Amino acid sequence: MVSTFAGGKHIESHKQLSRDAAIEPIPLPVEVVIPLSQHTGTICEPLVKKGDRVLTGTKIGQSSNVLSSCVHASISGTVRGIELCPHPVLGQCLAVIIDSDGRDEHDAAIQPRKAAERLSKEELLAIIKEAGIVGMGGAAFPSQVKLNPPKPVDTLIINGVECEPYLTCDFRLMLEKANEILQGIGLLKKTVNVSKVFIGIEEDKPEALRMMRNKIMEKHYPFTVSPLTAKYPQGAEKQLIKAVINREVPPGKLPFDAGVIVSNVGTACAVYEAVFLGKPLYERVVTVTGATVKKPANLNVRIGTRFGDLIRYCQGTTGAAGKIIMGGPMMGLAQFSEDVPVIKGTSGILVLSEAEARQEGEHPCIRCGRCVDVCPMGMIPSALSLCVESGRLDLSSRYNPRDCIECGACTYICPAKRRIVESIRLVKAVMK
Amino acid sequence: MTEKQPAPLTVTSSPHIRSPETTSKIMWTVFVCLIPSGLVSVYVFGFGVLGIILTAVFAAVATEWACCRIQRKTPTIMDGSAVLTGLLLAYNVPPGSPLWMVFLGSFIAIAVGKAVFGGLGCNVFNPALVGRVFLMASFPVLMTRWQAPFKVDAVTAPTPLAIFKDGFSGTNVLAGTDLVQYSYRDLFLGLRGGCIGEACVLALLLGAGYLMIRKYITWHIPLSFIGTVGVFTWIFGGKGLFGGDFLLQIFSGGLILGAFYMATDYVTGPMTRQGQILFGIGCGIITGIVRLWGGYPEGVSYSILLMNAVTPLIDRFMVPRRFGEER
Amino acid sequence: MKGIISAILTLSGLGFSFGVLLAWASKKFHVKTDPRVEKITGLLPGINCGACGEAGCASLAELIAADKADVHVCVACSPENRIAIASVLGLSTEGVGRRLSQAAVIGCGGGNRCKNKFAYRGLADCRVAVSAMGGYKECRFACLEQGTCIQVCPVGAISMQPEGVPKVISEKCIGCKKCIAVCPRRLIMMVDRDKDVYINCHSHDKGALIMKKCGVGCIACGKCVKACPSQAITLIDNLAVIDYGKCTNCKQCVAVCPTKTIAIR
Repeated sequence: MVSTFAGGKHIESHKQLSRDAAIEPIPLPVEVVIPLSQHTGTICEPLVKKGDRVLTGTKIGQSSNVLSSCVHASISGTVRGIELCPHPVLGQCLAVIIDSDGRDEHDAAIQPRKAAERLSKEELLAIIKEAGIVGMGGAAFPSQVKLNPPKPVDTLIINGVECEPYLTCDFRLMLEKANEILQGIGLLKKTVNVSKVFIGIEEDKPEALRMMRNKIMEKHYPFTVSPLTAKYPQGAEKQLIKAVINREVPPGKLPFDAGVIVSNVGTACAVYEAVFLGKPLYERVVTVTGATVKKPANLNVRIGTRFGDLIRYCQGTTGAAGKIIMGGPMMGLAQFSEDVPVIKGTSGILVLSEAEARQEGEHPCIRCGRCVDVCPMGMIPSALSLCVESGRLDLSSRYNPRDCIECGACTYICPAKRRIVESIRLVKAVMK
Repeated sequence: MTEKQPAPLTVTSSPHIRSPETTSKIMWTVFVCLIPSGLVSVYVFGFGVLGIILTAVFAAVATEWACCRIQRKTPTIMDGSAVLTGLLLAYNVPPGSPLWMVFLGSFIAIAVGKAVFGGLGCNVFNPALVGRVFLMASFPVLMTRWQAPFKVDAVTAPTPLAIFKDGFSGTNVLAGTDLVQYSYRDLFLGLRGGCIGEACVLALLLGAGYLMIRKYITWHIPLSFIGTVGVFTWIFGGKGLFGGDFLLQIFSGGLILGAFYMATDYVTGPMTRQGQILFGIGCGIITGIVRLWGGYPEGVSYSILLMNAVTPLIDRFMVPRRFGEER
Repeated sequence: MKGIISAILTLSGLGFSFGVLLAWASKKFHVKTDPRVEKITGLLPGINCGACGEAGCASLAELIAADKADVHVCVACSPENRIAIASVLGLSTEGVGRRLSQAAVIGCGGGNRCKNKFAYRGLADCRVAVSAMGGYKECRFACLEQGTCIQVCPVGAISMQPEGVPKVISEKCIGCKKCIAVCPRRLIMMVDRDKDVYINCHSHDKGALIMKKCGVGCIACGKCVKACPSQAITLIDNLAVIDYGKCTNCKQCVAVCPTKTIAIR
């Protein structure tokens, strides 16, 4: 049985560009730029200073605040400085710049852990916190906070949907690291102490579905694989919960209010590596793709590698790049420079040509209702767009702008090319 | 920080891709889907019809251009909405209409029906129907002088609905003409008197079918509209209850044209699916009442205009269910 | 004839009975209003700017009449009208007519002289522009040029200059501070009307960076500090700041500023 949610829209996936490219490691970068804020929450205090020698996996930043996540050096070398650097989300952020010594010496703390199965919930949370693990789907919410909900939950849903067009890193991860993911899920299950575990995967990824099912059968894991309709935004937390266990998270509430924790497959894999191998989160899989990229690929990349280095590793682009996007085309962030570094939440780098990046101007709303049809949250997006256009922000609150998950389906579908999500973001910002 | 500056990248907020649908594509597709009906009309009523269509379209586009100039807006001629309004107006006048009247109707449709409200997207009423109702009120004689099929010399003949009304209301002015002269086949193929575009049900359905396949229109408004008219006239349209000739009611007059092409107008109809069904049912009931007991033999245009006026109210209350909220 | 008479009688009868009904209703449902409220509402500016925190001028008038608010709460009211309101209330008009002191100035001279980091193609609203990678200007303090302050100004006192930055026309400004609330860069400040000079920059960046980014910002050279005869200017975190309490409006600082950052409004 294939399940889904109301609304949404199937969008041309473009995943064929990189879905068959196996994950490959790239040569060590000569320098890395490691922003001290790669997560939702407080920025880290640097633990190193200019001239210090660091090893791969050395902790270089942490914060005493609960909602934060520590950062680690991703190569061995010397700290060149701590300066304001371009940041893919914040625009600018304090970052530790490390010059590589080319040796990639690992920190002594990175040791395979024995008897990992017998760790308690608290020990697991501490390991996850020390490893600096955040949600790998893009929002980068600190995992130790998410996995320790203030009220009891009964279900864990693993997000292997990857509904964003173009991106294939989670798909490749499920094919190539199925065992690691499943062991990681086992650890997550233990950490949040739930009985039911579901793995949601879109049915347009039959290889991943088959792989996960086979491995679960082989090892008798108590997990259920839920095939889902290939429809955007199937991977959004609330829509995923609705599709998999038919529960709705009430407006303004978080998944744990519905008794659910949702975690990404990449996060499960990172948790496995942190617990069993003792390895902090200093590298991740990044999809570099786009019609103009000469050799789209899924790369295993050290955090802090600049976007430009990855694009060049993929043999560059045919013609000039019009737009470089971190993440997928629907919710990703357009970048202003190739110099921004890969951070923990970078699932992909999408390069659009100048022609693809060109956008038509806005036209008047013709009230066709397409946005109402596709809105997965049951909103009336066009009304909010009209509120902004007519300068009547005071009317916007009756259309529940806070419900918006900014998935962009309304803006994608709009025949008048209106910037609906942007308007809703403005409304949200002003309402704050 | 390296200092090299590549060509400036574009930064916009997400989403970064857009669907290929555009307003003008939708408008022009609807326009093309209406062409078969016009061709049948030219075949049945002669080449005069072509003149009417061209006049209406030209007048609509010219008015749109002038209004945009006066209101200092960027001209919106190429989006096809004015062309479509002109075509729909032409489809809503009798085949023998004088060209000056058609021109005036088109002018009113765009200027009064659309531009004064603020242009595309802001109008409350379907512009083409505003034009038609204006003509009906101003030139009732010209607007009800029907031409018999294949009679180029403009022999007038009543429409099937007029004949039905005559018999139903018992006025018997048209005694001698008989409904029997029209078979359902004739009605379906358009071999009868009526407005330019409403005649050939087959041609209209072909276009509507394509629009449905492209998902430009959905079944909600047309089905609920036509269904309601059918049920309503079946119950009340005969001698006694449940004896009405609903097939006659569905195939004649402007019902098919109105239900598929004018009630489904995005701008003036409700946005949600439940709202659209309510809209269709409302249109159907009003059409039925006008046809059976009203002053005119035909009520489609009035029903759509009346429901257009109710649309903001429907949109206000027929809202989609908020995600996560109790049913 | 008979028909006419009956028609006249019927209509007169109807008219009379409705008249009685209306007269009764107006007595029965009469809501007592303070006649002064109407007068005060008429004397308030009537632009419903919201600066007083009320929904509009009428609701402030009610509060003033009920002695729950001071006349000076309305910053937009002219001195003459304020005196008039005071006399409506039978209050002393002493001191009421003093001119309210402050008007807004926008402290950034960048505009098209400030370099762009990338091509911004979003909604024309500063509050949205700032959320795109923290703004498209090289300078993180610069005006984002989308003119949101111009849009919210209830009296049209702000206009876009050819340099690409908006400017406040002091004579028109009523001091409602609406522009201050919407500016995401916090560039707008209230300055006493009798002081004409202000620092047209908000950047705390070092001078060398400023010269690279726009060339018209404060480079913290300190010349104005030395030139000021009343020691009203200090340098705080690479930015000159005027203490308007000490400023005598002598304008000597304007002449010495090498980047023409100290402006006259």
